Amino acid sequence: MTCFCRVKKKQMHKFYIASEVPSKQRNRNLSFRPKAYLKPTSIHQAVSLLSKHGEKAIPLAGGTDILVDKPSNIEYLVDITGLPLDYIRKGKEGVRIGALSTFNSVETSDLLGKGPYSILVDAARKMGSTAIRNVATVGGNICNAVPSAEFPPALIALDAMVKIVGSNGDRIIPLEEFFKGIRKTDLKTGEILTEIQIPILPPCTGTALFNISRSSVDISTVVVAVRVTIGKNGTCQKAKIAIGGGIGPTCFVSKACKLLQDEKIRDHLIEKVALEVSAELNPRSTSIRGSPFFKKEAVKVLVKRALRQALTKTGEEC
Amino acid sequence: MREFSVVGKSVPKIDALSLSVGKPLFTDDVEFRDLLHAKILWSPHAHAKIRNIETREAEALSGVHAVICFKNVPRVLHTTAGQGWPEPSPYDTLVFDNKVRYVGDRVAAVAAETEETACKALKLIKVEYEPLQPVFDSERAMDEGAPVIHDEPDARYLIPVFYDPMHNHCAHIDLSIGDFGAGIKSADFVIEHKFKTHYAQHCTLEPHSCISYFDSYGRIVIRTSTQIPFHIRRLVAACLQIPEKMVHVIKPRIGGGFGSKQCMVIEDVCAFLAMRTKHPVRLAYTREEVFVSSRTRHPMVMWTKTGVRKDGAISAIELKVLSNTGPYGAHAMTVMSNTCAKTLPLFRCNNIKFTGDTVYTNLPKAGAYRGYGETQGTFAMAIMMDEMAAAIGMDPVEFWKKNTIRKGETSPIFKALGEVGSGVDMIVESCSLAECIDKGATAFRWNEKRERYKNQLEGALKHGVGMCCIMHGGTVSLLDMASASAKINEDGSFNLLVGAADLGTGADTVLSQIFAETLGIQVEDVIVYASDTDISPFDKGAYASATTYVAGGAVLKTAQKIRKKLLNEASAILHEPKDNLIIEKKAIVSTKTGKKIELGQIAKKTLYTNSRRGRNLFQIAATASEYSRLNPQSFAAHFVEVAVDTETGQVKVLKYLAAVDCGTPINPKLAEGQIHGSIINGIGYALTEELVFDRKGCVRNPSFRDYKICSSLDIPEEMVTMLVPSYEPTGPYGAKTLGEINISGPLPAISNSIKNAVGIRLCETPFTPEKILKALKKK
Amino acid sequence: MEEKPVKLNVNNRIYELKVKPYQTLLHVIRNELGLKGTKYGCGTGECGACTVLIDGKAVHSCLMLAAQAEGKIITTIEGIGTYEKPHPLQQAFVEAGAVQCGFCTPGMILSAKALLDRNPNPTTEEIKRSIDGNLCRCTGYVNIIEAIRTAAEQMRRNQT
Repeated sequence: MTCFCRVKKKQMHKFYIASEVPSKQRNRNLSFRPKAYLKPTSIHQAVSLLSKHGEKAIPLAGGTDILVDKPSNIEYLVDITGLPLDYIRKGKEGVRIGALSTFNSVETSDLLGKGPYSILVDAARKMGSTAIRNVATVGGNICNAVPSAEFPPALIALDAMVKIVGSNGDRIIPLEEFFKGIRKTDLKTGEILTEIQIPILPPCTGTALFNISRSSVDISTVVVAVRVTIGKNGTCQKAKIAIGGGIGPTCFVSKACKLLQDEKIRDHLIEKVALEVSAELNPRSTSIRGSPFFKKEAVKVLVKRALRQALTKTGEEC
Repeated sequence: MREFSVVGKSVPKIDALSLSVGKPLFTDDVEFRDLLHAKILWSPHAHAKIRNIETREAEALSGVHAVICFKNVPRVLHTTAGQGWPEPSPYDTLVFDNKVRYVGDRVAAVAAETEETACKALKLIKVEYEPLQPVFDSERAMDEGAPVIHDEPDARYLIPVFYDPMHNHCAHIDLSIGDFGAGIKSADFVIEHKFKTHYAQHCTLEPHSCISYFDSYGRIVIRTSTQIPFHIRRLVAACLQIPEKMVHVIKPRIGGGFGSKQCMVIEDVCAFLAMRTKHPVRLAYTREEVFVSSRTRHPMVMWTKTGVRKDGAISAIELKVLSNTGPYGAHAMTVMSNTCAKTLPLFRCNNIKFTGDTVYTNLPKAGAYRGYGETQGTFAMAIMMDEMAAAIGMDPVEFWKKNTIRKGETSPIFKALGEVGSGVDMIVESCSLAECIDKGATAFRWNEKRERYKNQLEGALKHGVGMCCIMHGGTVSLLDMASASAKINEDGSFNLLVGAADLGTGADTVLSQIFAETLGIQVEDVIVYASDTDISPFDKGAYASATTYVAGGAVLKTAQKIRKKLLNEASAILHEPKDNLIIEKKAIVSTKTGKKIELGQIAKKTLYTNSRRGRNLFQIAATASEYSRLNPQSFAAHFVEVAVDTETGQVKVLKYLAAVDCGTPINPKLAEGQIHGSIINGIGYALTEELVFDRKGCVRNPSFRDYKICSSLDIPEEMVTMLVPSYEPTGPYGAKTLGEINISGPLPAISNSIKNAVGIRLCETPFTPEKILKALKKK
Repeated sequence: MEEKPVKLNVNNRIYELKVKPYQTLLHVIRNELGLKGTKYGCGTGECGACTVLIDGKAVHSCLMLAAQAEGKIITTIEGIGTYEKPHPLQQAFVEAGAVQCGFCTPGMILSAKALLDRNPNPTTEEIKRSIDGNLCRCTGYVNIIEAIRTAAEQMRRNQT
């Protein structure tokens, strides 16, 4: 604990207006004062409203992030929960999850519960509490782009894409490219994210998701999502390791999985990959959930455990 | 355990159904016309003078009715501590000062027609600060040249105790019993450790709330979520410079206390604004304000040195405590005093040395928190016990049994030191600790698990078991007073008025059980009304685990007085000698002739018709008081099993068993609930709860999102509570105390179990995965 | 400021009122409808004291705008039972010693009701999970879990 904070000299300080206080949460209520609540009934109408009002409008889904963050200077709340985007489908093209699916829907989905897509269920289960999961939407969570979120690493491990609809039409981009930084996405003014698309996974694909948090209902300190696909000759055809948890960018995709390519995944290789992943990371030192030392140690362990479990599961999927 | 009709039965809590159906019972559940909303401006600096404060623009804002700060509030030094007068805490606090002493200290307050307007007005207040060097490290606070936090010339204690604010030295206690030096010399093993406990917040689900208004007679009414209604009356009266008779304090149902409401936290500001505006004023903390600007647990640094002989006897104990009270000294001396007074008498050792110091720092205000110093002291000593046992190769269970106080014994510390100055000479008249240990160890399968976990399979997960014993003497000796009044109604029911404050603890229920038992009636026939300074007789408030013992004693006496009056009347009405009469089932019956009269009939006669037969009309009623002539000890033995993930450092509590002696449990179900709640709070304190500060002394995690208390998913897989009754002859129906003792178990028991599992000794709380990983790597 | 007229269906009663776009359902329930059983504990969706049922699912009312609640079936603690005729959950909480200060109790009971209405025979794990967003500082959850288990048994008996 700091002994004495250095103050240059005992000096007269300039006027401190009461609003210049260091705490981020102070007077939150005051800054969040939207003038109007709008509820479009179609995607087209939603896009039109958001385009019209630009920076002054914000799409509102479950509200569990917006009503905590209470962003200032928002004048229009555009409630998009009336749009037909609450679905989970599984078919020949893979899995399609509507952006307004709640985490409860994902958690209880029979379609996702078995097989490699089950890490989506695992990730959804870890998100918040029951009451939060009942209203928080996958689209809202992705667009919030916080590094500690559990769902994005699971999606990224499965090569998820996101569909975005705007006044200039639709586009589909990999989720990894959608995240541009902490709380920053590729979403342009007037656009809404409508769907998550996960491709069909080849046979012999196993996935696993592990996290560490301080208590059972807590934002994760570290999240590791892993996917491996084993080829007919028993070597790794594809591996992906996605890390979340305040490590740095919203979701970090490790390059270390290249070490697994075309190799038989054995213990010594898993150890090596885990060390490599940990070395790649540069967690910020200011997190209250864990120091860089702890996060790097934790990542090593979770990567090992996730790889082992994913490998075991590949056997079930062949 | 002795058998009673109502006492010892798990009757439902008398307010439980109303609470379950959502009745508006809490402070903020009432509505007032013309209610104003108050908001407080907090300091952004850890240490600064206020050179100037300009409030005109805020006052001019439409909807604002008053703005108060040091410029327009009288300077009345006081303590906010809810303690008996003269308070054993320094008078070092002002309602508003021209100096701020931590990030979150008060600067000004506004009352306005809406919360929104009040918040806007805060932004318009202009404050000119002169930042000063802060001090955050308690181990450096008394250094020569350290910034002086209380440089005002008139801060003082009302009682003659040590006080050196110019060195940030708020309290000091020295105690020496026997010959510590000789004791150490005679030891075969000498063990020393340094311990650190951390800041924690009570996290009552109900934030601090207060509504203040004038009644129709010009008196100020304070409806507040508090543990100490009578102390609030006195403290607010002093700050407002009005006599106590002009202040009326009402405590409705409150959503938890745990010590955080054992201070005047917001009532003074609320009352001032009501006085200035002549409107009802509501002041309710946000959750963030609760974390930063209410109260916390005193963090402590402790040094221990103990000597033990090979035969298992403890030959010497030294405990040095450095307590951090934050910027103000409420509860500063007394919490530190308890680390010795309530902890060390447990041990059978005649050579004891204690040195306690409390210092000021520029971090959040510490205050009362369940355990009140005994939690910190027990942490240190219970680990020392574990270490001593290991040093001589004795099982901890045997070591504790050998070295803990027994029925019929005494400790020199009882007399030498209490919570406030000297204590009371006493003998332990009730103690089933040995039985707690034996029964607990058997039910826990202690020996079997110790054996099993000696050799564990390869793998990341390692199991371990640990235990500790705790003693907690209820009440502040000689200073806790409680009263009760009761009167009979026509139907044979009674109104029972008590000053005692039920925090959700079930005090109202327990007191009604004691009353009902004495009068041979059921709890349904007792209507309890509590904690209203106009109507209830005096009670010092809900703290020091005194309610059942002291308020219960007052209720017992009151009931006994009423019983006497009822028997007198019945004897006259039935023409039977009093010795033939018993009270049962709401009636008085002659054991000889079977003649019977219902209590309701007696009431009707004394209220209405006696005079027709030449007898008096009067209200059968009584008032009685009790005070803490003694502070009988409750005991507990805690056993815990953990699994430590040696790769991630995570600890999971698998099983927790508490065997508790609280004398006669007046209501076993409520008693169990107190035990569960204390333990889970203690587990959170041990593993996950921690207030984190930045380099400027600002709390970084003032929210439930970032300060983690246990949820339903965090509780041990198995929680076992065993009530092992003894009978305290000085307590009502043999009862002692229960409210605080069990929160002190988890910290040392978990440290001991981690040691057993993976061989590392954690002396610094909380036991985070990071600390465990680092210790494992060092090993 | 555009105040939005809304119709809120709360405890089977329709309330017609005007709400500001930023007003939470919690604020409206307590201050406009005068239903005080739903509590403010943190305002950030962490403590669960503000829990209500929206179409039978537990939701933190401090994180829902009042305007968003239009068209939903809203149930507060006052809507599931009365002092004279309590819901089996309310009765079970009383008997199991699951109520201490009572501040968390309404939210806790509603979360449990959401569970039992769709899963009449839950495991202990499922019970714990259903109340994972409801903090309690008094009871340590043990008696609460017991109360929910007992209520489940009673509700199953009532069904047969």
